[in-house]
Amino acid sequence: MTSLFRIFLIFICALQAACTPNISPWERGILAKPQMSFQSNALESSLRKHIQHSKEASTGGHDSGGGGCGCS
Amino acid sequence: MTLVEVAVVAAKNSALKAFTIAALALPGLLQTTKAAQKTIKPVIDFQYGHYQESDDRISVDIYQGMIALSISKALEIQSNWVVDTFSGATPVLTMPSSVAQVISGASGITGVDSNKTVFADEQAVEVMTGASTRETRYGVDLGFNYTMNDYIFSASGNRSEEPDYLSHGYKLGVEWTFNQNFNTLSLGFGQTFDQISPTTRILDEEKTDYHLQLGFSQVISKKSVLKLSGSYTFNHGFLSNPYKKVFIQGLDINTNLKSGGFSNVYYENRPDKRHQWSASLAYIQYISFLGAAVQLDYRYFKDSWDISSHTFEAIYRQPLSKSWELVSRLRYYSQSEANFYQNFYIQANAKNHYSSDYRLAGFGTLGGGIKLTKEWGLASKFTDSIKIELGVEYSTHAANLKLEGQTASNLTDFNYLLCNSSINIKF
Repeated sequence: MTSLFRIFLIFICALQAACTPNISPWERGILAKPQMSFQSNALESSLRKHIQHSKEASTGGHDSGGGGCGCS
Repeated sequence: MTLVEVAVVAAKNSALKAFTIAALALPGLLQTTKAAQKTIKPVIDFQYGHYQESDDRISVDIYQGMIALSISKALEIQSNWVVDTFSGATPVLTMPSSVAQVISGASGITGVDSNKTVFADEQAVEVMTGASTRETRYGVDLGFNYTMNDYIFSASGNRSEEPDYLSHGYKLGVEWTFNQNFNTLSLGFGQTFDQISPTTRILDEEKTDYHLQLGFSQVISKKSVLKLSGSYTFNHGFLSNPYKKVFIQGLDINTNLKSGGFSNVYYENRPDKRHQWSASLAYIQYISFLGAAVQLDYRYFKDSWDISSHTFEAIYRQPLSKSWELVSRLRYYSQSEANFYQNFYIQANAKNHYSSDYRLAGFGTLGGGIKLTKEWGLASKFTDSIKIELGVEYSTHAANLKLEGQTASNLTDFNYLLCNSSINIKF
């Protein structure tokens, strides 16, 4: 587990050092568009995750959490 | 000169100016900047979802709501609620068909022939619960976000209640935006405390979960963003499903496993600890000539029961004219089986762990769906905007869809449909 997080942190540091993109403030229009968002609808996302969590053995992802059972 | 001043100078007309200032916020990546734009007006969401499995297995109706209220420029409170009602038959046991005594047309078994010896390569049969199973779950959470400079602090508490399951939990989180808003780093921690008391047997057990989450996002270019996440979950306590049973031949009569009502049938018994790790990667690329965006996701998961899984997902978002949007998605999931999972057991095992729950088997799921969205800006005197969504997804869960070859029987293959409709109102 610790090695997984160590790799993750090293990767983040390397990426961050390499990636300060040369983008002027007035060039950020595309990044502000709704379709560039990682999660467009939180309720829909939680519904899908709840179904997947009750049918599959895996947990985790970009925004995970939980509570309740939904065991069937 | 600050970034905002630079942007305003650069803007040649008012429309461009408004667009540029909005663009500075990068709402797709950063929740931080949303707070800075906020006025003290509520946002309300409602959603209805319907889940239906093939072969008269379970169906679930899910009603959800969310309300977010900004108390000040920095403080927002948010509450979610959910009511799920499920009904239908679910698998309760898989066993060798040669010893299952059934009445034709009935869903359960009437007995087990204990005089026959069972062999490992025998055909198995799936035993279902009656179709009358019906249960409702009520869940609610309440939390807040507090924005301070480049940080958002969040905390929430939740409760979920079913006739046989009670869960309480909390989450704490912090998100930091830095490097001219090109990066965010987030850290979250949560715990849940569950009480399990099944309706069909005398049992009162507990389970505790600890969950740690780390996230990092990076703007790669004017048209692409990347997100990395890692999570660790530790479950401790009663991790078995209290309704699932297993067939075990020749188990010691002094076993601590509880009888399942028939010869050689017992309630399942899983380890009481489980460590789970996941690492996820998501990338969004804007396609200029279509005005669309493609998101590619991958997740790797591993746990201490030897289950590992790969999840691939692609999402395509295409804005259409007059504020319509079409979203299509494709998802593939594959998992390996738990080291103690079997369809049935021809002999006892040393660790005394047994489960035939199909969710611990090796299988794959392939699914896809579409969603249509329409937004009305300045929809009425009282509302800023109203948005509706209609979505449908279809998935196939099958043993032969597993990566690296099939390891479980096709016995538990099924398909499912998930539909949802939602409305989002900003006042």
